[in-house]
Amino acid sequence: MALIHIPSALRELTEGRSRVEVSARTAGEAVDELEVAYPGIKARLVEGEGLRPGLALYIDGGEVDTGLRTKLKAQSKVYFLAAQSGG
Amino acid sequence: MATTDKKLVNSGNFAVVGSNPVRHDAADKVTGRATFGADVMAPGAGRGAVLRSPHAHARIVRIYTSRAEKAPGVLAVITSDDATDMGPHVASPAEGVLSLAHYSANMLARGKVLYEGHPVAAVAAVDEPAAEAAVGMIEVEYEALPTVMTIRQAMEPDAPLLHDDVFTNADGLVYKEASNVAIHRHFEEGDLEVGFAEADIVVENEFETATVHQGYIEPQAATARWSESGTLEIWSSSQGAFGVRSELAALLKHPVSKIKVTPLEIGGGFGGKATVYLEFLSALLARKSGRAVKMTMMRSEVLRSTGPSPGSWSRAKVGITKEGKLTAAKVWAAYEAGGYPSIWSSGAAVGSLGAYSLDNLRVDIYEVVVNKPHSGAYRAPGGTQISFAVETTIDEALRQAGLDPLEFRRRNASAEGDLRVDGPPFAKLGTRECIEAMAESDHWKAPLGEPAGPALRRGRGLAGGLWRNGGGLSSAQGRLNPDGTVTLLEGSVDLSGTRTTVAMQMAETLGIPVSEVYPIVPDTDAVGLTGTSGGSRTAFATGWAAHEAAEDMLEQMCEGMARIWEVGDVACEEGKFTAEGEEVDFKEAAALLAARNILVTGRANVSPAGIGPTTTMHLADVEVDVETGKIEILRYTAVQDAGMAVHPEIVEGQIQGGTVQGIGWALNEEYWYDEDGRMRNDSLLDYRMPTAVDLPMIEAIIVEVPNPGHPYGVRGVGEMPIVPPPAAIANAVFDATGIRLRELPMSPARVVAALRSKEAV
Repeated sequence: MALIHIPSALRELTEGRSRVEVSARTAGEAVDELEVAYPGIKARLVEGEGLRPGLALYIDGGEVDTGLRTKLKAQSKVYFLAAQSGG
Repeated sequence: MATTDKKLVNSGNFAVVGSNPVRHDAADKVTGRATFGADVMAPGAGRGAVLRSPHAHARIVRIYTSRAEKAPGVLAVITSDDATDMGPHVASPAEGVLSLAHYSANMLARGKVLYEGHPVAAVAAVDEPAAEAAVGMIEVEYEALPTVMTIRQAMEPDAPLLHDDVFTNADGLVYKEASNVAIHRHFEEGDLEVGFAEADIVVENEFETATVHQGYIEPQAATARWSESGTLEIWSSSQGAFGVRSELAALLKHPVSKIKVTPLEIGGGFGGKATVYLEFLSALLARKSGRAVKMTMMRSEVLRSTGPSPGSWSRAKVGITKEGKLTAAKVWAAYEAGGYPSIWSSGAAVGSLGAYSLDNLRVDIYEVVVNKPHSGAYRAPGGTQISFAVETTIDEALRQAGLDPLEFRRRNASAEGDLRVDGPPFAKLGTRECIEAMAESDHWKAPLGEPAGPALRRGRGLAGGLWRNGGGLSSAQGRLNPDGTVTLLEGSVDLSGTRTTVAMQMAETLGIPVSEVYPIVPDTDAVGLTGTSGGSRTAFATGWAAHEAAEDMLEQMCEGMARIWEVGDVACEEGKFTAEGEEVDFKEAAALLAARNILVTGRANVSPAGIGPTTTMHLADVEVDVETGKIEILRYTAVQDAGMAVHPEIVEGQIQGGTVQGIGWALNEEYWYDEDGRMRNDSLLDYRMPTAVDLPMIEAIIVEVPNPGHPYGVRGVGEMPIVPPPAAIANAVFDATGIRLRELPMSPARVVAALRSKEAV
């Protein structure tokens, strides 16, 4: 089971839970699985076919640029982060 | 089968990485041969000029261009009618920008002007005087609107709205009523109530910082030319040629493959040249006129109309125990987005408390539109402002507790496994090593000394920090030449010698001297997509690409030598190729391969995940003249973890340059606006940046705690040094005078006012 870390701002939708286990095989499926359990959360994470602008995915120790198609392993740890700008 | 004995990377034992070779671009830069944006001379090019709004907030009723169009020498006049209407579509067209429509309107106002200096129309003419004269013939009818110049004003419930299509986006929850508050981000872990209850001392303060500019010496410049077949060529002073290409493709609705951007040398950027301005206008003028069009900004245009770093309003609350444990921190920071929504400041949330191991925290970040230029990045976007709040509030708590600031940081230092403000755990960090390096520094051990006069007071201040750094896409190619030299094509615009730091990583992997690698930053048709040179990413990500391209070259060279020697396996180590009694060095191999027409081109496209945050400690000694309010920096030391300093002198230069910019932010720099929202100090005479005579030598101490996520252990270094100076200096001023300054800049007038206020108390 992959472990999804819920951003603090969205924990109002997950009854305060900061981590949720999912059996999803991709990040996109993980969001769909979260949506079934916690309606409304998908709209906070996804826009159209991709991540909401300003969000980034951090999986297993690093930011990934493959978006919601990113495959998850059984023990993957998934974070939805605010994308960072640089100067 | 051919094999390469891959170098044991991240070992710290390197021949090239860690040395200080002469930069490849040094001779061209010091002799004036290097080509910058304003040096481009396209045959038959017209010159462009921009009409800018005199109002900070106004509706555009009508623009009369007919006189200008008929003026002598005029080739074209454009307004927003000549730009594609992007409609309401929201996209992320550029770093820090949310909406394509807003992005376009920032460069050519559509319906409204939102800051003084906002471009309203532009002219191309046969020469600059004709273009300027024609700009003066354009008449614009405005309906002035109330201005909103500060965050406090903008966040008032009844504040005039800058936009009727901006709605607060709170972590994906979009409110239905239009607002000047564009973005709210919220990060929280642990239990604040419990954390503050555990504390013996709780301190809370409020802060404001002024709008400041990156102050790059070279103003923006761009030249555009369309071919008969519809290809757009751009020559630009930009930190990111590929960003220019993709942004113009979106703004012009033109195929990416039909836009070629040639990056030129860049006379400073610091984040301020990460988005397009003149590239868009020159492309529109060139399209309309049928001629190449060159545009350059004047200094006043740079200050009034490009993207400065936002002013801020913030609050910080910290709790510590008598023994020196940080138990809780709450940070609230609002940033000026300028005329259009921005999204710059997430990294500031991570950085704000990242240097501390802390269980209970909350950080709220707001981005608020005001009638100022659309904000841009400036090294670590948002970091300096929030650090000023956090690090001075911590200092105040430590003073109350009578605790040593270095010992407190040693006790609370963040380390591997600690959670970042935004959730994930840190990999290996150098926080503690920076603290120890500061403790061992000559500066920390040296006495402060006595002031030179009766009105002078001396003090010392410490501040630390962390910056998350950036990654992203980078590409590199290495081409083996018959004489054993290597041509390196890399996609990163050179900032502060990154050609050389990238080439050094290729040379290290190949086992040859860096003088044998010739780095070139070509146009966007000649190298793979590479992210903007910014976010402390270039030595990290493009260096990684060069390393992988070199590995690809070695693989191909081994395969080629195996064919020549007619053996199964060829090994390569430290520039020597060996197999069954055969041995040649790199140059000999190159000659043999060339003689057999075996071409070697190594390629790599990477998007490295192992970004390594950098940490820092800054120490400032100041002398305050209590009569004039002048703050003099007597001594300044900056310690920073570079992971692995690929070129230590360049790293040192980054630390010194960023620190100096932070000192300017602390002491002098600010945008001065009159009551109508017009900038009154739009020259470098009146916008006061520090010069060499204002400062002592900045002592840079490089700590190396290798980043486990990079083959050579590299951590980005460019952004971090600008973060701590205001806090370190403010803490030193308190040490000297007993006054707490909570507004930037800490100008003489503010110092004198605070001293008088203290006396009054």
